Amino acid sequence: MGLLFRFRNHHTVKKIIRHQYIYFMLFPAVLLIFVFQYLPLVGWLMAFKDYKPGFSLWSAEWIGFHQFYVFFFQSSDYIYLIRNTLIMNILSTTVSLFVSLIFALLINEIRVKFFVKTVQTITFFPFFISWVIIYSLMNALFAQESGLINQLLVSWHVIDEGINLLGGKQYAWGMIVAMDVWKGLGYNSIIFIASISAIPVDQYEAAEIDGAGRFKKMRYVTVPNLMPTLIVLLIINSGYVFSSDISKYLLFMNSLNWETMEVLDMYIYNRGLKLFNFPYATAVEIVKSCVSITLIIGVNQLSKKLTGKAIF
Amino acid sequence: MFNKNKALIVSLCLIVLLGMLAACSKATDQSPSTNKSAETGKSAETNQSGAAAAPQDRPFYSIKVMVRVLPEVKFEETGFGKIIKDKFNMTFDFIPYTGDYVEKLNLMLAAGDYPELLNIRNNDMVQKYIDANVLVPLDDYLEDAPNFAKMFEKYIPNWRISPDNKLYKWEANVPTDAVYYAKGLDIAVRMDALEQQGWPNLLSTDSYITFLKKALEQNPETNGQKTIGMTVAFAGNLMAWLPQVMFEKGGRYLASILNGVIFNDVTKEFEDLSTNEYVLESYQFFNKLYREGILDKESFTDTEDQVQEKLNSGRALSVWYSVYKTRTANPLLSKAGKPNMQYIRLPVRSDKQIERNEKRELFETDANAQGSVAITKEAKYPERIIELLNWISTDEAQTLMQNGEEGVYYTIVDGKKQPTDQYKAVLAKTEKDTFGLNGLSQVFPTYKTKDANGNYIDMLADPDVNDQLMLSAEERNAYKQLGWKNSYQYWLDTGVPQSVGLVYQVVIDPASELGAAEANIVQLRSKWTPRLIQAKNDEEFQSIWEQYLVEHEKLNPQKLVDEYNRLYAEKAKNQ
Repeated sequence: MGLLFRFRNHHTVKKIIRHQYIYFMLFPAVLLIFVFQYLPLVGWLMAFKDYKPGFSLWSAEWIGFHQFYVFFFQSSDYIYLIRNTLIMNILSTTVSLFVSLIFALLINEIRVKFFVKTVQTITFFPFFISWVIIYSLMNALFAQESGLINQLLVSWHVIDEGINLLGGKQYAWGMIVAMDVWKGLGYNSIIFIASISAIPVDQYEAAEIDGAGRFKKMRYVTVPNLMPTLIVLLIINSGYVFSSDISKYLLFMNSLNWETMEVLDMYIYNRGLKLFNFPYATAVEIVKSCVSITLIIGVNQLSKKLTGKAIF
Repeated sequence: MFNKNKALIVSLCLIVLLGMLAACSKATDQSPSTNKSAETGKSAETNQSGAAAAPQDRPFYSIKVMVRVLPEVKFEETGFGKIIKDKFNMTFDFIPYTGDYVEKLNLMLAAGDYPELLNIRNNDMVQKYIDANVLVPLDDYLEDAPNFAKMFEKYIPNWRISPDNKLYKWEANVPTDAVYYAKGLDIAVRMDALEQQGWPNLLSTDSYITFLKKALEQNPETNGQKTIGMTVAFAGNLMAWLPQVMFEKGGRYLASILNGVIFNDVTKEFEDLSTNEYVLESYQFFNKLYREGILDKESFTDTEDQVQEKLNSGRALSVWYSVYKTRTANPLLSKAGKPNMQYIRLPVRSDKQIERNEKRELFETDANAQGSVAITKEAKYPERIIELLNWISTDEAQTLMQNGEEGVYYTIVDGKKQPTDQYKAVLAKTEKDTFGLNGLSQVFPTYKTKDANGNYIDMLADPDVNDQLMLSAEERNAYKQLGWKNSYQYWLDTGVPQSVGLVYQVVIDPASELGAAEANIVQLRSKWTPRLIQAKNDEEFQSIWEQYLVEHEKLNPQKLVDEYNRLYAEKAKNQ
């Protein structure tokens, strides 16, 4: 009884009881995340066992780090995979965010509301288009012989023969980054536009009193106020630097551009899931997750040190 | 007000929690270790639902089957479906699927969620399902299925792929007479191009290069767009085997696992596919096509859909391997007022194959691992499925399945089946197939051979009948111009039936070390093939080939070949 009394009077417990309804509201979200994000981590056991689908995971033989050894030491595939993944994801994230930032700044300067709304709507459309449609569009426009753009350029004698954008390995990175920027422009810019609208008006008034024109206001008021948002987005996205949208690469990767187009997630899909080798796929995924966690912590600390701003 | 809010919040949280618990719970135990049927494999409900009871006394039994494309008419509404319902009080519910079927099989096994009757695409997949104790052993049912046991007596030993030698599966489309696969998947060529050059009989790779080069000069544009010499769908996984299939156009090679190895029917041994002499000739052929500007540059990124579009518009003068796509393209071209631009299928051989002049091997399917079908432990009444299987293993059922009802879809003239106008309309897709021809061919055996009178059970097996029904007048005329009796003539004259036999039973677990090595070999081949095809001249081709051989050797392909041969020798010893 005394224990119960002490428990109930503990300051943390008292705090929880005082805010119990807040915690009740939080509970479903926590449960959802726990069930769908944390519980499945038990499946990481697959990477350390000789698991065969259809059989019990618990009774499978323990093989330790064998799958990790196979990935790192039995082939050198991981070198170009990690290179491609990092380059495309880092470029996509940074270019996408900066282009969206500039777009948001420019949109903010337009006074004609109807025009602003129209442009925002149009730039938001690509976000909803599936990669299958995008591939069909890209093929129709940029196919080496039959693509519209290539045909026009050849007929105008700008080039002698069509550019193999879809097959050339030298174009892979640029093409993926450009498509990601185009697709994410509307969505990413909304976050910045929302941040801009939260900037106190008196800062602009004060700048105007000091004689600042439109560009100086943008430079000394808008941009500094957007920096925290940008940093938060960069930190969050740094955790996804090893994750790729596999539907994009399934369509755009082919036998000509694999060297620069194949990413870690495609490798996991081809070598793991398609060959029914779930332990190997899980092992590679664990490596990916560990590196991502390290990165996000590292970037957060770096940001804290350099700018004083961080998520945690 | 505050108490009301408290109550509302608490209720909302409880509802969400209950909802999640309900969503996460499972109604039945799907664990593979659960033995739904008794150890003997026979259902405990045999007395209630077994063959002894009359159909109307048995519970209605609907079996789910996964199919790529739904039939036009629901199975239970077709003529064949009604016969099955009357005889067995059973029907089939076709469930469409999309995406990769093998992946679906993997995921179904991992999730423990699979239908009662399942087409399991390959022997390695069948073995996985057997290992997971998911399939019903069929040996105990054989005494209840005398027709099945007798009809497939010769093939059942091939179907015992499990180390315990039990029978777990049967194979659809076994046996199939060689005539069904006689027409090779070689090259389809546009008819007007042939006509312009006086109907040449093309066969050698050089003859194709000369012909297509001239045809491009004569037809620089088609419908306002640049004409393509040859289109091929190299995108995706197809680069790993499509440029290599020249090996099947000569003699001695037919069955191939199409991964790391190829089976030599003369030496009865597996060989390395990647370095096969016919495969090298195939690469040289594609390299020449590329250098001459005949091979479509978009082939490396084209999928089958894009190749289909190029055939539908008639832009391509020819297509490699995907000749079946002309079945869609030809009617469209005809409808567009360009019947002379339809495509016909022609043979091709490499120089060495012509020089050796060996009989081409025509598939006589005595094994079809791709058509493996098994009853899973989800089956409520496996004995009823066996009963149906037993009836289907009769000439009566096979004739019905493959031809429809006599008097409706065909008549008998001089002892041979002759199609009626209704059958022709169904084939031409101007009328719906209300009978459900071959509706169960994905899951039940449909043996495509001759009956006791020496006539083909399936009237479409007769080459002349097939040409009349399946080819347009222009296509038939084209073959006539070439001096052929029918579209099968070249292959039937130069081919010899070859059974697949044990070859498809030799399986290496893809998840094993050797399986991974084989995947590496295939991937390497897929990555180097474009370089070979795009070589600028013979010297560069030779240099790339030598570099490829060095890389290939690093993967130790001989170890894979030796293992395949060891497994084959073991299977042959047990026969």
